[in-house]
Amino acid sequence: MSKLTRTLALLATLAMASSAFVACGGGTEESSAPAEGSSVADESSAEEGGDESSAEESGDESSAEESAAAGGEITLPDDGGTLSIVCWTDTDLLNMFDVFANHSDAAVEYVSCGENGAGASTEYATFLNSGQDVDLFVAEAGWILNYINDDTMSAPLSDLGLSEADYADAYQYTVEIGTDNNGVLKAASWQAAPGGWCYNTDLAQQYLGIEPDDTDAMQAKVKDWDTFAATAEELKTASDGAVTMTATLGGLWQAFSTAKNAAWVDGTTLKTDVAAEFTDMAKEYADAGYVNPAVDQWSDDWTAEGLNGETLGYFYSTWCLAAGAQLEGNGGSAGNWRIVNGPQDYFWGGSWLCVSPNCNTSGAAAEFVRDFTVDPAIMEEYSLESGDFCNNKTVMDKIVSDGSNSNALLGGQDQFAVLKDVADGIKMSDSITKYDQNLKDTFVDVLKKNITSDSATILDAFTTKALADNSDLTSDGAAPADDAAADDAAADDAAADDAAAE
Amino acid sequence: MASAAQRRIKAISYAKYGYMFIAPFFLVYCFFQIWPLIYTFILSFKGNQSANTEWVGFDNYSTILFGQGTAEGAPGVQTEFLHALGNTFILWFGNFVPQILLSLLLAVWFTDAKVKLPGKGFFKVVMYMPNIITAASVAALYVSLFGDSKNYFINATMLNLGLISEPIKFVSGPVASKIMVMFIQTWLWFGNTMIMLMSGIMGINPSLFEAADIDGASSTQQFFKITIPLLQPIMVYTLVTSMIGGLQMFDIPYLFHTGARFSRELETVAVFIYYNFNKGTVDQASYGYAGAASIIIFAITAALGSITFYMNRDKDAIAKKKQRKKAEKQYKAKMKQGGLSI
Repeated sequence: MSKLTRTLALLATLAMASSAFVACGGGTEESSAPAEGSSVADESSAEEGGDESSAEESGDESSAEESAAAGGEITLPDDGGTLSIVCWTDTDLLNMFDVFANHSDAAVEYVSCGENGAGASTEYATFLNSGQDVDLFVAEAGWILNYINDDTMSAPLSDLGLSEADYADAYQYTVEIGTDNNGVLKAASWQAAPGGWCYNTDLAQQYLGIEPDDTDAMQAKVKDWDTFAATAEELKTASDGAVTMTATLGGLWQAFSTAKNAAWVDGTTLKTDVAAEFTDMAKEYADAGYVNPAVDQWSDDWTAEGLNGETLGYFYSTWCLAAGAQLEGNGGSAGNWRIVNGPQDYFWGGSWLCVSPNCNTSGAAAEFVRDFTVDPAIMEEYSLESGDFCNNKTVMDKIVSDGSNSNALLGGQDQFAVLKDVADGIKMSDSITKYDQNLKDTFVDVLKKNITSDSATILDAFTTKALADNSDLTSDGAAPADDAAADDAAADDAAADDAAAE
Repeated sequence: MASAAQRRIKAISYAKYGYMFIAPFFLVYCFFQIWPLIYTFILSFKGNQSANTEWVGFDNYSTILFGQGTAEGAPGVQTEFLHALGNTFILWFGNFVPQILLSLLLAVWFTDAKVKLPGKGFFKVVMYMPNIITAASVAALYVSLFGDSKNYFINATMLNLGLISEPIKFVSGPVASKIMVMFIQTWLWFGNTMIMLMSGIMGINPSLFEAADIDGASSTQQFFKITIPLLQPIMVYTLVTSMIGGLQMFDIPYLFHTGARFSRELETVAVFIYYNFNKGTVDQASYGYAGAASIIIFAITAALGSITFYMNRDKDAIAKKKQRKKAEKQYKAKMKQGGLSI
């Protein structure tokens, strides 16, 4: 008995001791002392690798690449070590590494930080300051501005020899997002992320009488928000309420809000008009049962809705449609889903490559960024390999006109043909702000929790919380902050507060 | 008579080696304990977000406590802090009471010489086990078992058995989620408390119990007249450590959620502090609110700790001390009056 106890105690001690070593990411510690002297040699060797690979492609492209590569000068140090790229997920990066390995000898590694795209927004700040070896990091649209507007977090792309001229063919909104307040290009995206509406053809046939391959008929049923709601009603009646129109409020919100192209914050004023509009719409959908408001975006319930045939469709962006991504997990493996443009042209997320000021593998970093955001041949190869929508209009036109892409999950449909139209329709004037991730999370949180309250209460609760979180913001006066509050506890507290103030 | 060598040895001071040996500890302690403590105070008087280098005096405190700071969001911050404070006390109370009762019962059973429980060692280890699992694993385990919808095990089972007609919101419901956290905290910590109480009980002189037995005291009488009074020092210790731990409760309330954020229904003061501290880059984080909330929770802890100690002070010892002082005074007074009193 005492032996057992002792063994267990030892196990317990080991378990506790090992927990002390758990930290953010599994980042490998490497010597980050930049060796200025070796940079020239490594750079040239890296470029040799690049040239070898492009020699395999058509002659025109390789010469184009050479001239472009010669255009910029790399000013960051290079010690010839492993290129470390920080991201919260390796889904895209592993595909990119496969393609990269065909063209380069440089070693690359994925360093994990952050639980998910939204969580990475806060965890990066700590990680990047920790002094670990980071060369490139991946950022999302919702919070990228926090990082590219901070020179201690990110370096301009010109330090890697890349300029805005290289991105003439990219989707303009990706360049706008990658540019900081001073007009310096700090980040480049390898993908554009236009989104469409993806639906289950079996359910569409059963309840709406739409033939499996008749995507035009489906698009006609969801061509704008009024039609979308009418179809939801039809579906509800036909299925006796068993099937919802779409899985989550989060998906609706994404399609609705990004298409509005309206900023959350104007100067320092919080704008709630789009939120107000969406609140009314969300309440209508939830009350009518077109959507189940209790389901969290990306949660297990969200997956189950599609798998169990409880929802007709999802709002999916390009990166949801690749093999192994969301569509496959949510019931698309049988190939009976199709994608259409949906009610509005919108984009969802997308990731940008940013350069760390501590980058010490600049040769490989420059090559990596150039390969996936500038080089048309490699971008095409990557797109066809991974199903990702690459950030180059010419390449996407070529893929669609060649008909070289077909997605087995969509029964052989070419999602690019649909999403290319959407991508052309995306407008992104200065509508993203550094507050977006926080405000979006807050809004979705408040909305979901108070969906049964009236719209004014929801907006007030949102404004209260948003202003509490962001002390430099002021309200736009549309929703007075202190006459109603979020939940019961908050209402009580606020009442007590008012009483105390009098 | 000391020789010359002996005198020389005496003249050498070995004290400096002592200081050198303990210096590393103090250096590390200053850097990683004292300075952060002081810095928390400093931060609580500085601004938030982009204004985080400006001195703002007591603005953060008036925002958090009275909702009257300069920022427009001040009432919202106050609401949230009070909500978090309320949650903290509810969650602490709800896990401390069942925990101490269960632990006490088990500790008495396990130490009772008359109750011959088989496999005591096994049970002690098994009951201590939950405490060594990391909170992250525990939260993940419970979230995956007790998810909100019919897609999770517990709700699915109860629905299929017809016990409930609608899934219970164990993770996001305002009441159910609090009960879950209280249960998890109790489950995690009762083994630990039990071991502590057992050591306290075993420290009581067994002859007291024997004497009580011979005098015919029942086990209930023994428990209330011997165990409880003599267990008091350990109880106070348990109460104080549990109170400090409870006021700083963070891991399970923070981790027990689905979706992108922690659950507001479970937001404790520690979660409030962490959230404000870690909202993003330096420009987004509200260090001022986080610092002020830390100081407030420190003040509350100090106050409650003092009250606990005051209530549990050894009254007999104090009475005896007073008596002795009184006697001394009387004696001195008598001496002053001069000589003997007949």
